[in-house]
Amino acid sequence: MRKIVSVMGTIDEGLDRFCTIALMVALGIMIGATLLNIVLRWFNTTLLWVEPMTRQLVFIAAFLGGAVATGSRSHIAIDLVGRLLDTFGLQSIKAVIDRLILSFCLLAVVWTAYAGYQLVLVEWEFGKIEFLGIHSSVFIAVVPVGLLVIAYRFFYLLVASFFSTDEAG
Amino acid sequence: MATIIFTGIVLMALMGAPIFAVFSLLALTAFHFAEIETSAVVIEMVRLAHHPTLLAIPVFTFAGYLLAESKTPDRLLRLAQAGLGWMPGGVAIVSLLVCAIFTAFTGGSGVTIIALGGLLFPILSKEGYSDRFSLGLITASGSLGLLFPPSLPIILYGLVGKVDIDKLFLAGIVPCFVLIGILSLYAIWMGRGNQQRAPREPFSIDEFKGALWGARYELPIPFFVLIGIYGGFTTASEASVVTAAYVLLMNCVLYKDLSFTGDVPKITKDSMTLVGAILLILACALGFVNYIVDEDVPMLILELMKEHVDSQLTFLLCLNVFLLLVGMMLDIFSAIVVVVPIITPIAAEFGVDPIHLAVIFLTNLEIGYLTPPVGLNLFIASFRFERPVTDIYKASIPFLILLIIALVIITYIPAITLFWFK
Amino acid sequence: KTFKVGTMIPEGTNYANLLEEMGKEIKKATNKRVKFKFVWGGVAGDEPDVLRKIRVGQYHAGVFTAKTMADVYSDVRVMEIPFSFKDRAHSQKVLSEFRDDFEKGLAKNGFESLGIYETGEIYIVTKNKVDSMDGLKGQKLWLYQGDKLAEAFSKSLNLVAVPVALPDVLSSLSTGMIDASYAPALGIVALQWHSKVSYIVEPPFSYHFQGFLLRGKDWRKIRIDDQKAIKKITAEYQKKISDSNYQDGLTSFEAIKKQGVKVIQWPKKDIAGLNKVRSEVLKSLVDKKALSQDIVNKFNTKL
Ligand code: NA
Ligand code: NA
Repeated sequence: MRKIVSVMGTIDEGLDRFCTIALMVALGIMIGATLLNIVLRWFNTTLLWVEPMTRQLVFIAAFLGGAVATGSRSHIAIDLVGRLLDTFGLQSIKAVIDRLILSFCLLAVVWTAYAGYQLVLVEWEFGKIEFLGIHSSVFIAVVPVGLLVIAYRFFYLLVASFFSTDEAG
Repeated sequence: MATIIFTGIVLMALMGAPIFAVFSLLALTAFHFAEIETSAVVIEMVRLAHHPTLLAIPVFTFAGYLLAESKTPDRLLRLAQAGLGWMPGGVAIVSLLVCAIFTAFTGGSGVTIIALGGLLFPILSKEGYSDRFSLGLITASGSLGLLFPPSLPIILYGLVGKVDIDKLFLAGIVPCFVLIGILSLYAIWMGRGNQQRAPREPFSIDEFKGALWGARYELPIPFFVLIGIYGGFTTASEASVVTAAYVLLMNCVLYKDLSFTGDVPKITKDSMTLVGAILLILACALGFVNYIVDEDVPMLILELMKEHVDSQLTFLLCLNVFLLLVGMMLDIFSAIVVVVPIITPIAAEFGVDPIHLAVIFLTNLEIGYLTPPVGLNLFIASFRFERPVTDIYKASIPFLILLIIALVIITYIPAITLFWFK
Repeated sequence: KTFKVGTMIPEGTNYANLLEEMGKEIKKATNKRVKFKFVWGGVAGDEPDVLRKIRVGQYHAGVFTAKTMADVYSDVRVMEIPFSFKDRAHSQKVLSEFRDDFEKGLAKNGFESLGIYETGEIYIVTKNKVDSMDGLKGQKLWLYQGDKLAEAFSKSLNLVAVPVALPDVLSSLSTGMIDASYAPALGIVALQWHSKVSYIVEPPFSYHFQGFLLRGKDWRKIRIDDQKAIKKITAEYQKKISDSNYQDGLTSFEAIKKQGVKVIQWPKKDIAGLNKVRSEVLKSLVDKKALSQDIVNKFNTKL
């Protein structure tokens, strides 16, 4: 069992590294391509695909950044109860609540990913080719794929939460 | 059944579940019970990718983080101190100004308090201000500057509220100076006995020249935004890219504050994680807001308000109280996404100018950050200075009162905001 | 049953009021069995969003521009090929000959057409004095994003196209980010572009129309006798709305002139010389499968 958790952990770290590098590449392209377009405008040319591409990259970055935030547990939340429990030293209750929250997130993310998958099917049937010859369903597929990466990370956190205390001891 | 589930979701939110998950589940269950395909939620999420100014969010945030990690804050502070340090309250005013400019770039997510707090506190103390005053000032300045271009909340508001971002950029400038001005007067008044405790440095032209030269590469930054957009060279998004590219050049090549291989990747990761978290909330909230608007909730509230509220003045008063509560409870990004689509049609019905509404809205949230018991900046300051949060409460109350006075002025004298567009 | 209709048309305009009126008549004629709930002013999202929402069943209908109708059935855009018609009567005649084709094509792709409305012709407005087709070359011309027709047109004329989102066109005109844009007179006033430009070009550059599309699946759920009653009313309003929009277009044109925007007449020979450009645009759209060769042939003979 512990072996499985450790393999899961390795995969989780791999995802984290992948998302971080992808974020850097995305930001680099956003900045580079937009600069290029500003310069080209002086020469009366515009690359029409640059602007929609950068917006799609930002959209992808939302999920990549969301995945990284999941790993570091830095999603924005109303953290009042957690702070209070810390103040009163009620760690055991906090651990229970934490698992509850992780399960809640897992449910939310998987359900949304499923809804996204259904939309991809619809778009695949009725959508059209957009800039650079990419089919519009690809842009929608960003949602389920991105959310599944996030779901995996929540799942790993949940599983690991049952083992981390053993490992410490 | 639906009621139980919704209560459960809200409870989870209060217990600390990530906001994005809360919004997505709210949306999915709402659509599920309304017997609409849940994929409609994802249509709203995907709409995010069509917002014209979307690019400005990650890129300005990245530029802000670069500035925060470099020695730019030190150089700006030195310059401001050399310029204004000689006058009574000068140092405090300098602190307010630097915080405001800084927040404009970092988006007021508390980064200002973390990045500048440690730098400013000793300077204020040396000047003879009490710990309590200094703490209050830094906590209050943590969100000051939200109204200055190119702050992230302004961009987000323009996006969600469908208001021209370049107009908002102009509209926020004078109200922001009103906020800074009132706090500055207070600082001058509080600093009137400081001369005996700690003598002020006289103005030195050499030091000023030195500081000016020291910050020579920072000085053009605001003009990239202003000249870029208002000179017709770039869109708001492109202006963000030019700014970020310049900041990168400045800190990695001209000043060599940051290393391209060591610092920049880390800063990219940190800033983009924040951006990802914000955009994910935005995407998920859009789904839920779509449901609310679709069910005509704003119209229902409007009907209710029309029965009890009869003038624009009363409406604005109610709005301010309501927004202060929202600002206290929700982070600024969630607040904008959820509340703006609901109040925009109502405010229009009461004849409030959409640009004025935006400025009122953002000022309120700025103050909400500072409102006990749960304003976010109070906790960030408590964390940064390792003080009990009750100390921070006491320290920030005078600032809170002054900011509310400024809010009243901004709300009831629309000309402060709107004179540009006459 | 209540059908939800999403559209960009602003609430309170004559256009919106007439559609609302039509909805009421349909409700009466069908004994409340068929009702329409309009969501105006893009509250339901941009046109492609509304189309998606119809496809997953959240909305049922939309009043769309030809650009979005083309996502259902691409051949409708043939009507919008620039500089094709002599005058309004000419365009009406051609449209009436295409109406059946369009309705059939839309139905085959899952949408019942409940009316195709004229929305007034599209004019080019400019900040700088552009007194001929050639003069447009140095100007930064707005490009509606994803609009294949406008893309093909600006490419074949070698224009500098700057893609800007529709809500940002006003501020882009005011900062000089773009120097020229195009819309029906009605839209120019609604979007307040007339406060930022100095010239409006005669003759209008292209025809413009919108369509009321109901999802076929929902249409077939309506009783046959109700369908007949609805069709009778929508045919009546098709004319009423087109005429009203035409009148509003004239009023808007006057309002634009009153704002101080000067009318500038392009030389007749410029327009005549555009036949070459027109065939280039048509060819490139056929190549991109944005138009079928059949419809192009038919269009050319009808002119
Ligand atoms: Na905008
Ligand atoms: Na803009």
